[in-house]
Amino acid sequence: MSPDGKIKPAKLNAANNVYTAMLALAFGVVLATAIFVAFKCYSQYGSLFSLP
Amino acid sequence: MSTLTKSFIILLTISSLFLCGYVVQYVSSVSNYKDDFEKAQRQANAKQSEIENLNQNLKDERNKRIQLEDSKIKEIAALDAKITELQTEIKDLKRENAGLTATVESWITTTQQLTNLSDKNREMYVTAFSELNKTKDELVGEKTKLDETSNTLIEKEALIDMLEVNVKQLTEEKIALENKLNSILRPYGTKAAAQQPLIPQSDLAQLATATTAKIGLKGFVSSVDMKNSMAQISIGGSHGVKKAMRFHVSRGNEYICDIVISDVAADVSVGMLELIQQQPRPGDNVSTNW
Repeated sequence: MSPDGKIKPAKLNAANNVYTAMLALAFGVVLATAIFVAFKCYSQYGSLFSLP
Repeated sequence: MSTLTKSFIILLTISSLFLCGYVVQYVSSVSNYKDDFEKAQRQANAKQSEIENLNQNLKDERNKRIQLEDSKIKEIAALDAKITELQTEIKDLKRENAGLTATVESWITTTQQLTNLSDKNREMYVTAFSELNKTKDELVGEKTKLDETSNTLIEKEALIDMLEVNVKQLTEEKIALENKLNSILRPYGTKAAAQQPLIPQSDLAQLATATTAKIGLKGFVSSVDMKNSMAQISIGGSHGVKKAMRFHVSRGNEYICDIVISDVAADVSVGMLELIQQQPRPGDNVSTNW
């Protein structure tokens, strides 16, 4: 905290790239699973959420 | 970065991987219920249509069966009517057969009677023919005897004529002799006595006059009793009817039978029927000569 009152945006840097990668992997897996499930639902039932 | 955050990141990653893997596996392995539903629906529709077809077939079969039953009932009714008609015809034929059988039996009986009658007539014809021959022979003999008797009679008549001439001559001579004797004896107051015949009268042959005349009685049949073969006629003893006299019964020009009188009353007579050719009836003519 400086007395000038000017706040400079801090540059965010990943604390650890490994955990970021793990989060990205988890996000990608979940996204792929969601896409797969959506594709399956649409291909088999013709809609994503509504009942046929 | 704290350790707790790191732990959460690790746990989130691991759980995401497992959970997503499980979800992918489940979604990949789960069956397609829509297809199953559509298949089931198609099958249900097919089954429904099949059921409808079967129901239609059942209806058709029922209609056919009803029509068949109706036709069978009609055929049965027709056959029953035909059976009844045939039974009636059978009864009629049986009745007709019985009548024909009775007729045949009556014809057989009549034929047998006619055969017996024919045999009897043949025997009677043979007997009558033999009797006729005998009668002819006897008639020839009688005719010969009659001729001889006629010749003898003619000779006797000639002899009688000659004897009558002699008798006349003798009578004239006798009268002349009596006149002569009376003229001789009259002066003496006497006369010749009647001479007795030298031959007694009873010893003289008496010439029988065989004269025949027809009796000629006529009447009619007053009653007939065929059970006892007897009949009554309208003339009796007062008309000259006598016992054992034979009367001939006739109807017009037809010969009916003979009646031999067995009982004679004053006005009627009763006799037995003989030589019956037809059944006599009251009113038929009777006579002694045919």
